[in-house]
Amino acid sequence: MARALVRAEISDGELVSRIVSGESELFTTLYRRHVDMVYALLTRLIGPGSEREDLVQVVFVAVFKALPTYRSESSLSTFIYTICSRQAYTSLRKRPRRTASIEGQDVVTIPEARVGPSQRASDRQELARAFETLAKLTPKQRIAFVLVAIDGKSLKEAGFILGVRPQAVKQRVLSARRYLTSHRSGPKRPAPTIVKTLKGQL
Amino acid sequence: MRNSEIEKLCTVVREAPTNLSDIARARLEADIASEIASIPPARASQWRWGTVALLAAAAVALLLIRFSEVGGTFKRPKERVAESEKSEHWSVDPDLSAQRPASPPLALSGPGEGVELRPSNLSLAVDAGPQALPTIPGKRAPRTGASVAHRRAKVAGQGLRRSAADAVRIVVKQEASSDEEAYAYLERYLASERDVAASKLRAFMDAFPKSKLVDTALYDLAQLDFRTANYGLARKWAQTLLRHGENAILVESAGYLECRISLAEGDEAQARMCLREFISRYPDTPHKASILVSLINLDPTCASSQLLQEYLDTSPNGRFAAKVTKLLAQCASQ
Repeated sequence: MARALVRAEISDGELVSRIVSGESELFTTLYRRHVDMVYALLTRLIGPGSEREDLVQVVFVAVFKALPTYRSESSLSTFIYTICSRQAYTSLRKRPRRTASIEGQDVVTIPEARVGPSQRASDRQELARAFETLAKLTPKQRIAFVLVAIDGKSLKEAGFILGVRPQAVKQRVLSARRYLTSHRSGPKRPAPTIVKTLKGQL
Repeated sequence: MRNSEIEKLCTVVREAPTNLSDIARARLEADIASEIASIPPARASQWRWGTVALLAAAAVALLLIRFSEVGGTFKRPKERVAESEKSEHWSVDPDLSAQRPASPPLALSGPGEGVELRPSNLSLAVDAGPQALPTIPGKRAPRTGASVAHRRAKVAGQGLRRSAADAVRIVVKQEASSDEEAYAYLERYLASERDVAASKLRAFMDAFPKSKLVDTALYDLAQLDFRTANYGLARKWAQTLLRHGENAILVESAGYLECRISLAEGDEAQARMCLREFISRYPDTPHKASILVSLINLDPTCASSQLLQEYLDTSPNGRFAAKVTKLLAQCASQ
């Protein structure tokens, strides 16, 4: 108990230096401090789905490997953000681009605290539609959009996290916005192929 | 989508509930702890220096390959220029002068007025160069210095191209300590030219034939060729993945890709059969709505009423739901 309290008082910088110097059991403290942030960020970056948990593990192992390169110029959470964004990018690039919609069951896996089944169903629909829209963006656009438009990072911060110039981040966010603006949401979209083909037949 | 809708989307995603369950949290903690227990903390910096050393070794290897293929000796730039000037005796060699593009004649003013100066005249005036040797009928003409230089340059060019392909293999094998790193390295080329991306993916499969990512490489290759309308090759990769793939998601996607290839080729009978077989094998596929629409489009009559109904059951809020409902009503009234 006393040991747990001591661990809670350790600053991030000290925690990292002690882990790097060989006290790898302290990594559990680092994990507990940041796991919620990583999980939430991964949800926004890659959407709901079972692969999030696998990716949390990948991110923390990557953080452990990269800890010797951590410099206290940036906060530890920014450092983890960087690794998280890179892993999310790799995951988004590997996965075949979604052609079909994100089904309800993917979103059901997110625990919900709200009351009322109809409200929950409506929220689920809305959330599914939001993630379905985000899934249409390219990985680079999506990550930049999530960091800047959703997480509220400045262009400079997002640039630091992504390892690119702020201007490049701005460009990605703008192109994501342009894409979203030019594409209407799913159900309202006309059905050109089927209309064209079936019109003359029926 | 209007700006207000985009803002709403941002709010919805921002406020999405993302609580990790206690069971998952504990399981992850145990998994991570067991995984990092096998990694010494200083490994990351060692790994970085190892990568630098490997990159340096790869660079040296490239230089050596180039050195051996250019002719065994390093030449200073001036010597190279002199050599290339020597190989400009193309006008003496009839074969080579024929390959040279015709230049417009230059008008000469002064004493030699009226004489057309062509590149051959010019080069002969400056330097007679080696004389063309007599040709013996039935035998290949002996090579002049110019043709030898030309051929040598050509071979050197091929050598460089070959060494570039070898370099990909070297980098794939040595720079990356794991298949995942190698694939992450290759992925930056997937959006570039098809040939470059395809050669790198094949090099990856050569380097890591037993990797789990071979399935991903096969799928990416099939997608590349499908996008560039190389349907034969795309089919070959997709079928290889179908036969030998272990990643169930990619195998399923390869099956659907095979059907899309038939559709793109215009082979309607094959496409119909393929799509029906696919949907019966994977009844819960996320591509079901798209497949139903493709099947309806292949037979756009009221005979497809069952498919229309199935589409409505599958995607009651899908893109085509309104139209399909209307069409079903029309078919019922007939």
